[in-house]
Amino acid sequence: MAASVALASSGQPKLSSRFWREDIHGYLFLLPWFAGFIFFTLGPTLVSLYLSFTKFDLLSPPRWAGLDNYVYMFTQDRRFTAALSVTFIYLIFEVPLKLCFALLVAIALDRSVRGGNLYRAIFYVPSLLGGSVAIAVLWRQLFQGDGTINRIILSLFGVQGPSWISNPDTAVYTLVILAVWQFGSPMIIFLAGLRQIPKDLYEAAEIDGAGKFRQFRSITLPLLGPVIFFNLVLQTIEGFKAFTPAFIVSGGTGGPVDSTLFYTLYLYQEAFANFRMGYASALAWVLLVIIGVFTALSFASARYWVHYDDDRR
Amino acid sequence: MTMMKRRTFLAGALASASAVGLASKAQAQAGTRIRAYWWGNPERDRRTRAVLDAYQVKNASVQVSSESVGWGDYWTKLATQTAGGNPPDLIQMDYRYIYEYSRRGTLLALETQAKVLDMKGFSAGARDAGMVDGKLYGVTMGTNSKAMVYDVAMFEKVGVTKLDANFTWDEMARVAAEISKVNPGKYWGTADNSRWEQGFEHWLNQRGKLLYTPDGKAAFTPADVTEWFDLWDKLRKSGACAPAEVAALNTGSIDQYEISRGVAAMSYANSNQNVAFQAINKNKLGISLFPQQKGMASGHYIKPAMLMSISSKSRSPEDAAKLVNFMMNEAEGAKILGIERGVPGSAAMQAVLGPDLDDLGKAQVNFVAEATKVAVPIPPPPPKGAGEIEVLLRRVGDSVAFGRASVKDGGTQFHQEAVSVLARG
Repeated sequence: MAASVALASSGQPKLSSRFWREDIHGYLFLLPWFAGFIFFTLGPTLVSLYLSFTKFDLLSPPRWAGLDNYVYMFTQDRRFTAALSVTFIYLIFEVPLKLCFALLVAIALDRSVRGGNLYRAIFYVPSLLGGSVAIAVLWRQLFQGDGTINRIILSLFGVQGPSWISNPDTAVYTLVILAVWQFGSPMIIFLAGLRQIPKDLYEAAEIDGAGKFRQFRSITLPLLGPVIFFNLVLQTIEGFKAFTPAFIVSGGTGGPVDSTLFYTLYLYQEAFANFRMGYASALAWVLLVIIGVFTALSFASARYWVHYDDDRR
Repeated sequence: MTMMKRRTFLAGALASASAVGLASKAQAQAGTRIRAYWWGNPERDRRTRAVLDAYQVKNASVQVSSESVGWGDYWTKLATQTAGGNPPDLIQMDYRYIYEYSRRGTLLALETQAKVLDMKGFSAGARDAGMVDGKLYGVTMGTNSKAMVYDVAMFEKVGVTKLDANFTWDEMARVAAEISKVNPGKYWGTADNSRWEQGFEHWLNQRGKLLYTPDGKAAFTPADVTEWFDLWDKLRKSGACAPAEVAALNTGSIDQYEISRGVAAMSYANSNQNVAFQAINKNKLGISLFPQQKGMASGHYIKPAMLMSISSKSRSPEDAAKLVNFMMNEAEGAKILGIERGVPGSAAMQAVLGPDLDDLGKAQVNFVAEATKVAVPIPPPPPKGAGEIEVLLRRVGDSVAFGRASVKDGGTQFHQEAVSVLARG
């Protein structure tokens, strides 16, 4: 509706009253979204930009602080660097693992098996549940010292495992596993991508004597390029924004020893535990820039490995 | 849909929207609305809702809505609502925050409601705990002191039936090591308390030192921290104390304490929490003073477990004050609340509750009486960054426990970072 309204009015420099009468309903229906965008998205975003140059503890009015927040962040704040490194470690493992896993499952489901739809639904379930508090609590139970995982290890290998979730060396990897387990949405997108690949290409390749692996490498991967790229960008952004699991698993502290201090968790602590709204706003803007840079890098690199059907080069 | 129908639809929608608006306006005029807000646990929520209901039955014109969250989210929400100009009328307050909130003018000076809120029955100590700059901003709902929560049966198993001032740090180490032998590798004598800010404060208080100076600076030295870490390091190495991985799972809610998880016989908390601890523990629990040091102070002080304040923005301060009075000064209210929030500040209410106390209640009242005898003066309220220091000690304490830092480096690191947190404000 919004699109047709925009088209209609741009094509008609002079609005006749009849036209306006027709249009106004379109704008009326647009209003809730537009008002929501102005008041709940754009407004707060701009205010947070202003606040990032202030000191603001919620109870007293913000005080202008110039670049102080940013200077402190980059020169003195050791937890900022700690949070960044935790987040990058998480991303480096989480994104590729999740994409590989999602692709493998998608390929397996792409063959027509009986009850394929059911499997697809079942594999998607973790994505629906994964971000929830209940699952994060479950994860704590699974990976603690006397948890289910260690009981399985004990019965299989006779070794007592460590408390994965409360050990600073391993805690973040339990969160990586949690994220990889939620491979549903990239999987669905991969599936759609796989269905787009013309089947005659595989037939031709088979006649030429190409094995399954060769087919995968020379047909599936290149033709899936745009979809892989799309998933990569989306998952990277999602990864930067990960919050709930770390918050629940560490009880909001990012512990043990800051080993699960995701960037967003640190931001939350500064804002809502330490009441430094100004500093937290600055952290948020730096995160926005970081995500922007990574997305731009992805797009820049895409020229070398993503090929579109209608590529004119 | 034709034009006509759309118009009718819009008109109808507008009419019904305005009708809803009118209805809620009419409802608001019928009586006073009061919003009550507290942090707590299921047991406290049950009791508090019951007391609010009882008050509404007697005062039909007053409507009380209530809201309760955990400690961790409480202050976030309160600060947000206060900043948004929409604070609740009744605010459960903590000694840690009352200075900040009252000095910013967000709380009502309760002298203005002296007609309906009677403070005469309160002991001077309980009353003064709610005073800031000579004015009363919070009514002490109950007093408590820090207390060690222990598993009675486990202590009996190793031959300890009575805990008193002779329960020293050395004795604790011995008993804990004995208990650890009962179910080795699965159950330990004591929880690791090195990472709890209040535990460290208690240990400093025993030595006549403070955690924070009155003007909000660090009052301890790196050497103090190192000694404290060393004490617990030795306990860990001797097997008396639960290892780092077990301690790191304790995120601070009552069900996550080692004693509640069934992995240690001693945990460190507050005396009024014995009600909440016992509610989720099958084993019989006792409370006692923290381990003592011969020739030193007890380190315990009596503090308001929590206070009740009224927002300065409240539209019906008098009704709010009446409700507070019902909770603190009237037998009916006091009986419903019991001593879940600590021992009442009013002597009359203590007498009212006395005959009805169950074993837990008696244990708590006796404990506070015992602690009062040996108590040190209450330290000045913690400064603004204190919440951050709490998290900091947990982080550095864990780091030492996991062997990532030596006790000495840990001591230096904690002191240095604490100083910079407090300077940053």
